[in-house]
Amino acid sequence: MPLADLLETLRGDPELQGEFTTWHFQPPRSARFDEFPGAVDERLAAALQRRGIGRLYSHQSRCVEEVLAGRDVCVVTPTASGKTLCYNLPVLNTILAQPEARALYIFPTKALAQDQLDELHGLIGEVGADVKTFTYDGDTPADARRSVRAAGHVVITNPDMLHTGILPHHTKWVKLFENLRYVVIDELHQYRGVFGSHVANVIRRLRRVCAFYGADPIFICCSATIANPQELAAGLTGKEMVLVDDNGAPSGGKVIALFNPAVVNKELGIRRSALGAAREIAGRLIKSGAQTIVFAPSRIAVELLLTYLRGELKQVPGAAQRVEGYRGGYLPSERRSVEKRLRDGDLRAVVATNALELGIDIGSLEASVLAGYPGTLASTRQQFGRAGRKSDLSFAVLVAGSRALDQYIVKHPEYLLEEPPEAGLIDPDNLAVLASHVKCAAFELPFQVDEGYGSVGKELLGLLAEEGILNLSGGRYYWMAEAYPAEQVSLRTAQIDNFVIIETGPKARVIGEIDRPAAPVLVHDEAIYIHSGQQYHVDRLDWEEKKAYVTKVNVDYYTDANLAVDLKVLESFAELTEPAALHAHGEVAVTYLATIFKKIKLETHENVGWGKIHLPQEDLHTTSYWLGFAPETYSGFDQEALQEGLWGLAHLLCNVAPIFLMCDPRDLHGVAQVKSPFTDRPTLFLYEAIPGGVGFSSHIYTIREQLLRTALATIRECPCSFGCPGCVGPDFEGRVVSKAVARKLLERVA
Amino acid sequence: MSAAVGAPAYRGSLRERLRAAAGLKGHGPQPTQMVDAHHDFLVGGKWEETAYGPALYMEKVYDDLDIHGDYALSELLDVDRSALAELGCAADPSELLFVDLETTGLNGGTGTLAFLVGAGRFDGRRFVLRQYFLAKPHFEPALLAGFAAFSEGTTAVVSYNGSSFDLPLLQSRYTMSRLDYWLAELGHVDLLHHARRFYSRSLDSCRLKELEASVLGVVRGHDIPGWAVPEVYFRFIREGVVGMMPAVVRHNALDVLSLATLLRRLAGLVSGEPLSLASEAVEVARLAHAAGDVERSLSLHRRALMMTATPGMRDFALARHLKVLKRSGRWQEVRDLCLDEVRCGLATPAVYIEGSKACEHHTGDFKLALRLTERALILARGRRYHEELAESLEKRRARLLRKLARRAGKS
Repeated sequence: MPLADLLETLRGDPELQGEFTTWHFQPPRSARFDEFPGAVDERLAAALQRRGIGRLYSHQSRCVEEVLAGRDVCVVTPTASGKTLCYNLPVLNTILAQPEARALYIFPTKALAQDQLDELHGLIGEVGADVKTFTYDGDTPADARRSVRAAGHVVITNPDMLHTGILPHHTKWVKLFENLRYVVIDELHQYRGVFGSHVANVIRRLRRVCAFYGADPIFICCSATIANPQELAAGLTGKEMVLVDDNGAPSGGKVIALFNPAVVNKELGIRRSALGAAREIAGRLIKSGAQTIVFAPSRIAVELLLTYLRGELKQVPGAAQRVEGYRGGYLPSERRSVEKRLRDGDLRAVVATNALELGIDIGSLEASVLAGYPGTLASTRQQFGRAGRKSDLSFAVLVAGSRALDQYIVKHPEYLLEEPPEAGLIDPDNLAVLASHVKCAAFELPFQVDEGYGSVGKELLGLLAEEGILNLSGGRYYWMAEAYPAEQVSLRTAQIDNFVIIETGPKARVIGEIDRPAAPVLVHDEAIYIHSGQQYHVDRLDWEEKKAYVTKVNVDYYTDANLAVDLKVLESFAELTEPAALHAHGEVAVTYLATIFKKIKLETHENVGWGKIHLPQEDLHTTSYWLGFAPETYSGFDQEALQEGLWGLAHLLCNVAPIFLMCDPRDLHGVAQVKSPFTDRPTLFLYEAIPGGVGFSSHIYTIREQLLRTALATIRECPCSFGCPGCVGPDFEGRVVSKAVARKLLERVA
Repeated sequence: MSAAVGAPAYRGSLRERLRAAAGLKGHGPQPTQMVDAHHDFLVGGKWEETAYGPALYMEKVYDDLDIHGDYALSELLDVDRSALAELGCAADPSELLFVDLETTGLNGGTGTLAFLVGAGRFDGRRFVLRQYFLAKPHFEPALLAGFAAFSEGTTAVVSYNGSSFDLPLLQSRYTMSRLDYWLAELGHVDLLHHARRFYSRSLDSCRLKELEASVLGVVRGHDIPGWAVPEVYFRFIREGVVGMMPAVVRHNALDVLSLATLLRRLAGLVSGEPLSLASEAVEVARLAHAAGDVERSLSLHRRALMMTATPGMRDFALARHLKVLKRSGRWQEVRDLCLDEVRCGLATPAVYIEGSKACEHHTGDFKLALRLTERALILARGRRYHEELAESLEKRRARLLRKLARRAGKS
């Protein structure tokens, strides 16, 4: 059945429980071409010609021109717009003219590096030139490393390998560094938050090492659509960038739809699950012959959906084998086979996690179904972009879950369709991150006494010298320790480590992980931990080893821990007092202490017992945004009502803020103080869960008006009576005024 | 979540916050008061002006009769050149450069310094040991230049594990100082590689110290353990404390001298001096075979089989012996050797099989081959983990039975 007909049927299908809140048609767009820039080598142009590329899209041509003119470029284009040519072309062009020239490609994962290697090999083979291209990562065999170091024209690696494997051994890479002309950073938008802040420092170190060898490479960054690509690229590389975002690639027409599953319990605001609805929609698409990708929020969800879909396709002979899963944990060979079968069209559907959202080449599919909002607009657009043909119609649908974010998005399609996506934020000068990398940098090359590094690099060097880790000799700081600093710094975390949850029994297995701040509340001794709808009793929490041992139970209560959170403002960076409210952001110290837990009966919410929690106090030094309320905004509420309202509001804001931040709701925590000693008024704090923060709170301060307006819209449109996961949080323990008070407060300040 | 109660917040000073961020949790800075090091511990210490500043070194000259271990150092000058060549050393002993480093760590990487570069070479019949010491980190380019000047005219490096450690580290140091890495032009004899072949089957370890005690006759006395070395230098640099530095210098000196003694020993063995270990005999035999002297190789193997050795060592010697015989097509001797072993009751299944193969494929004695195979089968079945072996023996047995039957049919 042609896709257009299928979509008509789907749209009016009465069996789908729920509604399409949006049905938007994006008209097709024709290609805009430019001739090859004159500077492009004839051999290269001829090779591209043979591969069917006779002209360049306008953005490709512009990028090539800028790069060959010696400018650093940040390219922003959607999926499948030929962005790899934007860097492969100038890089190969330079190497053809100057065989000693070198380039370094950085991809966030090994799989992407492998993909790029294959693509480059293909192009180089077509040119027929001797350009050596290698990946260099944890999988590179020891005996092959030497030739990569000596002979690789293009070395493809990841930030972690650059950090621990290349920079601390740069003297083995003299050829590369002396002749390094280009650094390519693809999937730029992946480098945000803590990871991005670390990577920005790895790039600082890279540039320091390049300068030592007299090289000053040009940076070519490629990003998916985010609000601030130029700023992010500049922050990561420390260089000003020329932005190329005028996409010249063609696309066929596309229908973008949002689907909200039906409400099943109005009071509690509970809807049918996104997974179930996604399965029904995907099932219809696949059965009618549309090549479909389904994005699921977790690895487990991938497996569940896969099982359902295969079950549904049983009636069609041979169809069940033509649906596969794709997620982290699959073997590389399995993944390669899925990718290839998708490109060949042999595979009719794939159920994937966001692992397939990255730039892996699987060709373009006809339909993309998202089971739940992926958390960021940028991700959503990338996942939507997996469906899209150069000329034919395609279809992308987001099935909303019941979280606040999902519900906001599904009711406000303009966000998805019109708003610029979130900003990718980093803070390369986050103290903990900076301090780690100053050590790594000092190991790599002695610092000159007057050489800076980041915001407080000089001060840090002074301290390290006092401690004897560095030695000041002849005007330079020399590394003076046996420790190998890069090995002690992981780029993917900032001191927050996860707790694993282990189901004991004859076949002990890990059932999940939770992050450290949540551990005292969720997996203290005797807690009831709920995982995939199953109750588990926590028999023992091993705090030192970060393990919680649990057994399956079936009881009629749940536990709710009381976490005493103490937050103190250390310094206010910026402040603004309006008649109704005070806004500020700054530095705070937070301490957590889990004190007691209550056992609460399901259904009735009676308190049926309690116990003490014996865990050490946790400290967090971070940054926060805060909102203080003027007296007239809370007049008429008693202390208790105000407390409840503030709590509800904290929940709501934490869940709505990621709309603007490109972060996970877990990266932000909220605290409400009825009378804050710092502001002397009822105050709500939104602080970052990462030590030192990475800039979310200052960004919230900037976009506070939008945030409050969005929160107000969310609470107004939520159909629940007294609070649900989609607004101020569930109304456990009969916090019946929470929603009403939160709404009033918001109306008065927004 | 509960409301906060407020005491005035205390915000640490920038200094304290930086210390916390950098993970400096100790009791604050270390004493930085420098003891004025007169470098008294540097016996014969001299400053030398180079194009890159002053370099500090200690020098000791050993004359013709000075011994280290069982040999005089100068004896190396008299060894057979062809023996050296068999050990992969094409250079004349007078042009060798013996090198050993003391470093600030074993992990490598650009932050690891070589703070003591021990180098030895011959000057006529005298052996000159020179140790360059990095009195301050920024003197490194001068140290490297001084070391290069001292080494002028040498054509090959002798080291212990230099291919994995000392030379890459030096290469990295020269690169860090943007100086020409001249050692790349030189030949290299890594004695660790030889030591492993000569001694790994007979000594507990192939550490230089173990070799000194077991075969070189070098008595170290109290020696500083290698793991303690970096900290001695860190204390010297941070606080000017000499501490154990003299022991480090001595340790390095002994390492360099032992390189000369070890090379002398190995060259002597290759040129026919008395062997004391079966593993030495087997390795000299291997070198002889590689040099084309089959007879000498075989006779050395026969020696090895008669020397005291662990069962593993003896099996290894026998296997090597059989290999040389087979390569030379001396099947009768393979057969005889295997039978001798069987008669002595020393044979493993492998020996039976070798004997059986020689009989089956070369001497044509199928009956004997069958007997040997059957005996091997009994042995193999009697041992665990020999199922695969037993299986292949069954096949061999069946094949031999077929061949015997066919031969009986013909005659």
